Amino acid sequence: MRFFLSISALAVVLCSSASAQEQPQNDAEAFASENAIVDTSIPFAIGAREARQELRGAFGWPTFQEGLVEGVYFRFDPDGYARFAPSPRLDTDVFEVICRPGTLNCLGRKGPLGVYLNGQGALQLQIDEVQNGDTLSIVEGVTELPLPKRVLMPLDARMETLLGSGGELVVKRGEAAVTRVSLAGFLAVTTYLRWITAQQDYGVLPRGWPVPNSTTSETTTAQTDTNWRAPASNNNRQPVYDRAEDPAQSDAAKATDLAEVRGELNALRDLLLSRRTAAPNGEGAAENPNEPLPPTEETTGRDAEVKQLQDLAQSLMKEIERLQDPALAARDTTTPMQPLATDEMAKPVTTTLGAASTAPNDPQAEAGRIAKQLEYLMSEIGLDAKTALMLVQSGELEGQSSPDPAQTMPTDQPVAESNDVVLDILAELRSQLPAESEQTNPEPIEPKQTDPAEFQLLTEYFKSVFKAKSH
Amino acid sequence: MANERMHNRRRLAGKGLMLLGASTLIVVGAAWYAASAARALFLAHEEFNPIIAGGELDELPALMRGNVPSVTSSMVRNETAREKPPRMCEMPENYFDTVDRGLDQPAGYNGRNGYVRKYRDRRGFLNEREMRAAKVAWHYFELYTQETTGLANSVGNYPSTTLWDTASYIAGVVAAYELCIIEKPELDHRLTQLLTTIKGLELFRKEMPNKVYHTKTGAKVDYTNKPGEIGFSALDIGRFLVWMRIIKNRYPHLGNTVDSVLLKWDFSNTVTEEGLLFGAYVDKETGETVYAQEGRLGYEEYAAKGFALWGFRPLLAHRAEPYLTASIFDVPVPYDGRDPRVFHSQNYVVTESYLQDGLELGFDLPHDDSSPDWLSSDGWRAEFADRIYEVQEQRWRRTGFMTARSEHNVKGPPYFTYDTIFSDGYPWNTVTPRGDYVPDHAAVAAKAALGLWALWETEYTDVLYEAIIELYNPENGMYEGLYERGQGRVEIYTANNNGIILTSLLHKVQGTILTPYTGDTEVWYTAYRDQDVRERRNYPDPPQEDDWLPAIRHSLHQEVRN
Repeated sequence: MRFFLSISALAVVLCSSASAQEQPQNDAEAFASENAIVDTSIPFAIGAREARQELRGAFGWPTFQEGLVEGVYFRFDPDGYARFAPSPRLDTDVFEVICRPGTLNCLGRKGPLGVYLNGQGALQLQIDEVQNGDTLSIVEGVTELPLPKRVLMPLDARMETLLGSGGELVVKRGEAAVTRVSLAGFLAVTTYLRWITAQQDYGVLPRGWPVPNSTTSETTTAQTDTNWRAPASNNNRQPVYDRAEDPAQSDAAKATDLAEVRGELNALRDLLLSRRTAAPNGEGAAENPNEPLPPTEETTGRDAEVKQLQDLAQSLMKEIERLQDPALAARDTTTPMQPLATDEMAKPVTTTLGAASTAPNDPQAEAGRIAKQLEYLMSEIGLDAKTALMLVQSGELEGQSSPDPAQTMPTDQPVAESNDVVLDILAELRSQLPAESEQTNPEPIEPKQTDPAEFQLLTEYFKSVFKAKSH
Repeated sequence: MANERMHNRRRLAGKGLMLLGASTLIVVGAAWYAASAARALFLAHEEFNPIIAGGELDELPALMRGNVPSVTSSMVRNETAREKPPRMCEMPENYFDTVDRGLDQPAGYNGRNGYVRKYRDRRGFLNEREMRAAKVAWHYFELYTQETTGLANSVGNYPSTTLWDTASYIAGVVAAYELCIIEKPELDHRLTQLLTTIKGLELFRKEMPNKVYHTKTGAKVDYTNKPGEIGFSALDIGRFLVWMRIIKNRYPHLGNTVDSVLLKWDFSNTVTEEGLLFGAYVDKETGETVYAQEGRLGYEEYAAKGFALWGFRPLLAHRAEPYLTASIFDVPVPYDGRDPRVFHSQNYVVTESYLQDGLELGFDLPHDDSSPDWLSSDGWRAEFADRIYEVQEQRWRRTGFMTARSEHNVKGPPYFTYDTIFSDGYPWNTVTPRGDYVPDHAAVAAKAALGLWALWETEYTDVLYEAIIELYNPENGMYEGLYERGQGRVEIYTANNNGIILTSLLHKVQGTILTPYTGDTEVWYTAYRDQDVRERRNYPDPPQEDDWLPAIRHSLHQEVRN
């Protein structure tokens, strides 16, 4: 359901963007240098080249990039708009990629087929007019391979590989094929989407991709086996959010986002309740310095947790309203987000982190372990100090049973500076939840028991907050 | 015996002496006669062929060349120069009864390679619908002219413009005045402010105007409207020069202001000795200026004539060669023969440049100030334009698609398309500047439709007229066009579209927009004669008959009508 909601939200946003373009005098304004998200001088693949456009008009993108990769020709502009097609004229069987202005939110589409990266960085398909009971399959020649229903869920690595291998995606209703879409260019488009979202980091390209300068560049080492691991199964993958919000977003879209936030909070509450119910009162509970609370008090405590989160959400809503003032709605979201983190959230976060940081049994051993993790992240993974520290904190709070950061930390996901604030908030909220849970539930939460949906819920929650804030 | 012999000898000696004396006299006399004759001959030559200052035998120093008037066809052929028509509101009711439309003239080339088209242009007063369209088109400029600079936005409220679009704005001002939508104080105010701003614009590397300027500040900007510089466009400058010549010839009181604008520019890298037009851009790697030939068949010739109107001699740019033809609906459509793969420049065939040549210059050569409107002295241009019209009418007749194709802006990416008759080897190819095929952006361009309507009085252009004449938003101006595949109007407003529509409507009233120059010498030709500025900036001398661009025809059409 959540995925359908995501699809709907994206569709609403794209529609609102399109309707904004319907406004006659917004057309010229729709072109803005701030919409440039891609450096066309960085080749997408070996042999690609940046070309200069001859413009007769007064404005437009002066450059673009064109090339040939995986059997398809492509061209893309600085605003991310791209076309992929088997013919050099890019006139038939075209996969088109359109990005929301000024954001890294891009959608690839070919006829009824759409593909995009969801909030967790997982590829997801959308196929127009698919109904319950329809069957999907890949057809190549006389071979027909049925696809499971989960093809409409976030794709895992095998499904991505399968779809990227070519053929035709066929939707059947009964025996009749209602939709046939060529998958030519699927691999190139999905790779492009990842590459754009990762701000043109070669680290997200698949193994074997013709990366420019791959024989000499360090980027070769960045091509890891985990690159194509489905992020839906990798909770450590950090989503990349909008760098700026579309100013023309409609009120309907905002309302949808706010409703989604509230829904997520309710779901979070249910999650906490169910976890609390399922957790056994064993030794861990006895070892906990905090005595387990009586059932009524537990309920009260959970309510307090939820209330605290809801208060936090309300404060974020207020911040959204404050930032909806056009004078404050700067496109660069990094700087304006800072006051939110410090003003509204500093107190509870500081308290929570303070409690967590004083928790280790052996401070020296703990410090050594953290230093080791930091060293690993910085030297082996290549993250900067701030990001590494953030990830270590996140890892500490998420699952302390996983001492090897290599097993838990993303090795292929570049962390965008523009998302630092969001990630900070995410980390703070994550830290808040287990820390307080420990007070009421003595049993440490096993990482295996962690529902990925929890992280997804929070991600979506903050994504919506971030979107609203950037107005 | 001996005495007799002696006597004979003396007689012979005497005769010999007499003969010698006579011979000597004859030789001396002949020599004297020859010398006298020669002297008389030489003296006579000196007396009857003196070198007159400024005459044919006088090699004029550069200092004095500017005083010589430009030689036009009316001077050489002793013909009557055309006259500027009165404003529409000042025309007598029977004005068009006396207009010579050449209806009895057969189509084809004449002995001077002039061309009489198969079709006639429309002439007459504007009716109510046309007047309303003119007022709406003018409203675009009322709305989007910046008070601070006098520059008009190229596209809606996006504050940037090019010289091409500024020329369209000037066209709008001239048309609004001549159609009596505005009066002279507003004409003078707008043009003076505009020209003053353009004179003060910071040039691209102190050479020529930058490709794009911010209309609010007048600062040179890049394609994203941020401070910076791109280079300059010879085509844009060529169109601007056409309109500089039009307002100078029509409104002599603005002549000095016009001259002072152009005398700030350095043409040394724009028109080459062999007569090609060069634009400039900045090398991204080195930051250095790169000069590159600019223009393809259609636009190149139109821009070349703009330069020629100011004394330059863009001989090669004005030639059609190298060109090829593509047979579309049995019409040989001409297109530029330079290979895009080699020259990295597309060869788009669109209507616009032919329309501008026809509307503004009457398909005439720059020196022609005397031929009637129905005769085009730049014959091949008129003949090619007829083909451009015919192929579009044929498409309508054979497929049902109303067709009036041009480059035009579109809403959203890619912001601009070349909606072509032919390009990249394909007919009816709609492509973006980067080369993507985007057939959904194919449209009946409003400016092309009304331009065709003005220059070709046919049943087909009546249909175009009905499609376009009410295609406007009274609040903003004329729409850019009508999508061919039924997506409705191209809901965007541009200076170029509204300017060309106004030009088309003015052409119906007044005919060819360019009128003859009525003065003698010009500051443009006399300024800086005491310095080396003219030499350094490649300012031309007043063109003489030998400097005229040639009237030519092409091998496909050798027939001559005498």
